[in-house]
Amino acid sequence: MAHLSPELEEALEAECGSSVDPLLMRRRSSDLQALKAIVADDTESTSRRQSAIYLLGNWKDDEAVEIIAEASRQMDEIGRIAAASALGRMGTDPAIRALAELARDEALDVRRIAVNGLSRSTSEEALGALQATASTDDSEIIRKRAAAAMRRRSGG
Amino acid sequence: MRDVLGVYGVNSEAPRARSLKSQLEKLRSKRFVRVACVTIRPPGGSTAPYVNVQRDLDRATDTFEQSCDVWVFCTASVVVTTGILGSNGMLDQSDCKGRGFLGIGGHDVSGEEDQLFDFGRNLGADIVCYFLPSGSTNPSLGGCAAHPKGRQGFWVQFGTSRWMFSHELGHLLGGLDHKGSNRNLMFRRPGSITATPPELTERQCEGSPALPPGTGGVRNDPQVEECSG
Repeated sequence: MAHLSPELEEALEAECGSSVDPLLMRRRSSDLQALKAIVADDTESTSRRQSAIYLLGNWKDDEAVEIIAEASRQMDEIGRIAAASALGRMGTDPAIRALAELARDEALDVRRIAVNGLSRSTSEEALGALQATASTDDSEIIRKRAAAAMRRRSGG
Repeated sequence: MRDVLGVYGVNSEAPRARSLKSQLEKLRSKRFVRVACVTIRPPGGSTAPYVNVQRDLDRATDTFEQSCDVWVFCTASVVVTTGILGSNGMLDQSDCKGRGFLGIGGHDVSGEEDQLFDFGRNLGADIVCYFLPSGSTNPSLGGCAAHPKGRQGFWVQFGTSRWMFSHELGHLLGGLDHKGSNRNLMFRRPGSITATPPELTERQCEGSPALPPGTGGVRNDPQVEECSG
């Protein structure tokens, strides 16, 4: 495995949320590439891949979207939650498309986090995914969340 | 068990003698910070408070009292059963920016964080700690002190390091930032702190008069009170 910067190592193993700040403040390309490599590497530990996914979400790099989406398809519920959270924070069009898939996940909490992410976006694609969720999701809780997000979008 | 002012449960790791008289004397004679505790429980499960509430409160008092002569007065501990954090009690938080004097600003408050930090605002303390069953969507974190403007507080995950509560409170009191020493409360990995209780330096306690309020050390924090009567 490539040598990781101290800031990246600290962020990946952060116990306190503010340990992530130094990595995000310096935004080095080498750290971004290392994060993508960790997410894509299925020999890495699950917890390390999940942490890397979370960090990529705050980096907001579109090239990471497909890597996150692909990794999430192999991961357990916690991993898919981390992916949904990351894609929601990225908020770009490619991220919203990947998020729409997670909004149909079998696990309720993955769908909850996906709806949160869709709620932050003003795109038509996000609106479409919210409408589908509000009308067809198995869970009343999720349907209500999606409907509330649509009302907020329309200023209601 | 008798009710004792500011005591909310048993510290099974380090049981100690307590009395109403000693608590009242402490309130009268020493500086303190008020903190309220909220245990979040998803619907359909346990309704009990987090098992280590009193352990964390005792350890925070031990730490801040030893170094800074300030103790932690818990005004209330409540359990809130809510579905806002889903069925697993995991917070979808955007980031953990904006705490500490040197921390980067611009904290983005997520919808769930906004709802969470409304709880416990009527419990007699401006600072509220939220004990969360599954932490946040950043799976490595055990705590975070970022909070919506005007609603001071922090969250701590169930079962995390015994110093996490005190560490996150440290970010709020005097705006303390991370330190390199693993004996210091503000060491970046609270689970690897080696001193019991952890240390705070005189500068962390007293700060500097040149710094703005809330960033100038524990004793100078506006949240620290003393009885005047």
